[in-house]
Amino acid sequence: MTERALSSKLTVSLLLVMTTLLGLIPVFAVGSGTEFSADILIYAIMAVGLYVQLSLLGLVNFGFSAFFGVGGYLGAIFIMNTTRDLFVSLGLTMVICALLALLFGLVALRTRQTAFTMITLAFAQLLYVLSLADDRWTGGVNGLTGVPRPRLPLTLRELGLSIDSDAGFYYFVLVLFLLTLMGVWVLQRSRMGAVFAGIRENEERMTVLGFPVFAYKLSGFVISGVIGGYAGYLNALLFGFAGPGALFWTTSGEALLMVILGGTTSLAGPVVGAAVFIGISHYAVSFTDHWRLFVGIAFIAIVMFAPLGLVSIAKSRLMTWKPLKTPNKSQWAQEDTL
Amino acid sequence: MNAIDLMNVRKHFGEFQAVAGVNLAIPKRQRCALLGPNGAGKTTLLNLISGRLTLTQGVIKIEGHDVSREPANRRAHLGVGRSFQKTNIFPQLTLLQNVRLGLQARHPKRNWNPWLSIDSDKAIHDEACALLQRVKINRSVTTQADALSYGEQRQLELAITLATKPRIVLLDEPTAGMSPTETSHVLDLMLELLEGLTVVIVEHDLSVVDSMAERIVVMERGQVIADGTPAEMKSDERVQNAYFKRAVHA
Repeated sequence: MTERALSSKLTVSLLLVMTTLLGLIPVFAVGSGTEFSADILIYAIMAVGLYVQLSLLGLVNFGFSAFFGVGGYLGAIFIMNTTRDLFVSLGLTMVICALLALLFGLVALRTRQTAFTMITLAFAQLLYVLSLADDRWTGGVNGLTGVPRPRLPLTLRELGLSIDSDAGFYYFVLVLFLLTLMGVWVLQRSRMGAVFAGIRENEERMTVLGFPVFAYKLSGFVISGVIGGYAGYLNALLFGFAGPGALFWTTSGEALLMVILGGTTSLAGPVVGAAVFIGISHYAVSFTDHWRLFVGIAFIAIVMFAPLGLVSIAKSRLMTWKPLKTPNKSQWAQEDTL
Repeated sequence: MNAIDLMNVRKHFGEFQAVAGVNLAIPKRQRCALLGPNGAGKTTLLNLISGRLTLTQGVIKIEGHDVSREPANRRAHLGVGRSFQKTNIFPQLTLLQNVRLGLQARHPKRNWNPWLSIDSDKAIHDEACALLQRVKINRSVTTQADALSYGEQRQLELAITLATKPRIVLLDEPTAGMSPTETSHVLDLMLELLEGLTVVIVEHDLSVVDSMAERIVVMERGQVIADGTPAEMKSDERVQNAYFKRAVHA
């Protein structure tokens, strides 16, 4: 079995198992288990957004928090001031995040490698400083608190659907998470995804072959920014809070850590990485304030023993695994004669 | 109409004149070799034609179209394909994926569709496999490109270039670093596959130039110092001084 075929099968199997298990979580979860699971899914969406840039296009963006943070603020501002409609506020957030990504991308993508990483970091930090400086729209250092959950359209409400409860909101996040995974899965197997892979491997060759490399990179940057934006929107709804912390560089660092922990070579990587990262931080924080120490140790261990990420361990196990077969009669006979 | 027209083409890097006023007309389907000592401006000229470098001054026309200010990707759509001095492939991708990218380059609009699966496109798969057979790479199409020998990587690069169906092919030292056996193999392949195309080749191996070129342009210090058939160039004293003696001594 080729690695690509194995990767496809592994991802499909993981998706099916994951969907079933995830669907059952609100039924069996105790305490804040449902809310915690929604948190993991939201960060997984963010990590998948970064995966589009990092893994498909080879862009090391250290300012991804810009989209996550802005998505949160936009969602909060729309819901508190403009509209309580879920799809309208979400749609507007996505459109503005796309425009923001377009603007950032037009400037940042003219640079490469370290310069690109630094300019994206600078953009995110600029937005962070702006969010602190403004009291009216962003709430300054305190952020925007008491963000209510938006309403579903009337037709859906008449069917008894709501995102007011933890379970209702969780299922909404799950649907968006699965749609995101499917979208990126289809993208990376498309003609456009093949062009992205070519750009990641050899940008100069792609230009000489006739591909408008900048336009492709910009489109990937925008897709990624939109995903990061609605992850931030969901994060604001989960906690009813949008604050400057989401824009800070540590959020970008955490997103990168999630993708690298899980693995950059498979779509399952950022999902696994997000689950491990949020899991460690959630449980370690109950023991110590220095929970980042545990994340750091886990990161060092993975870089040393599985540099391609946690998913690569599962992949390599499956590549070398062969099912045991019961020998037929002739094989038994052959062994006897030997 | 010529395949390539260069009119007073200049490229300066600060004070240094890498190409200093080159005028050249290369007819369609001609195989032209650029010769000259290191630093003569041959590769820079190739880069100016392909659009990898921008002109300081002058005009470049491809089949009559003024492309002097056009980026490299637009020139590729006018039928300009090129290979590089150092092997320029997609090392982490498979042979199939490498050649497929060349084929995809021919249909720029279809590539923007994020829903169109590349793996289920049988036509592009079959065409890529056929091209790999034409360049005589006898490996599985799922082999990763960086697992190939140097000679095979050169063959793969040729397959990627040919996949775009170029009318003009720019080759920068296509046999550099190869053993005599590999050189002979790749030369035979180029003669077969580049039949009927306009070829501009930069090459130091005179046996390759002899076999490939119908015309030789000799450059020195960014200028054309001689231009003619291989037989004429071998008897030209300036060319002897500028290149052949050095090549023999080397």
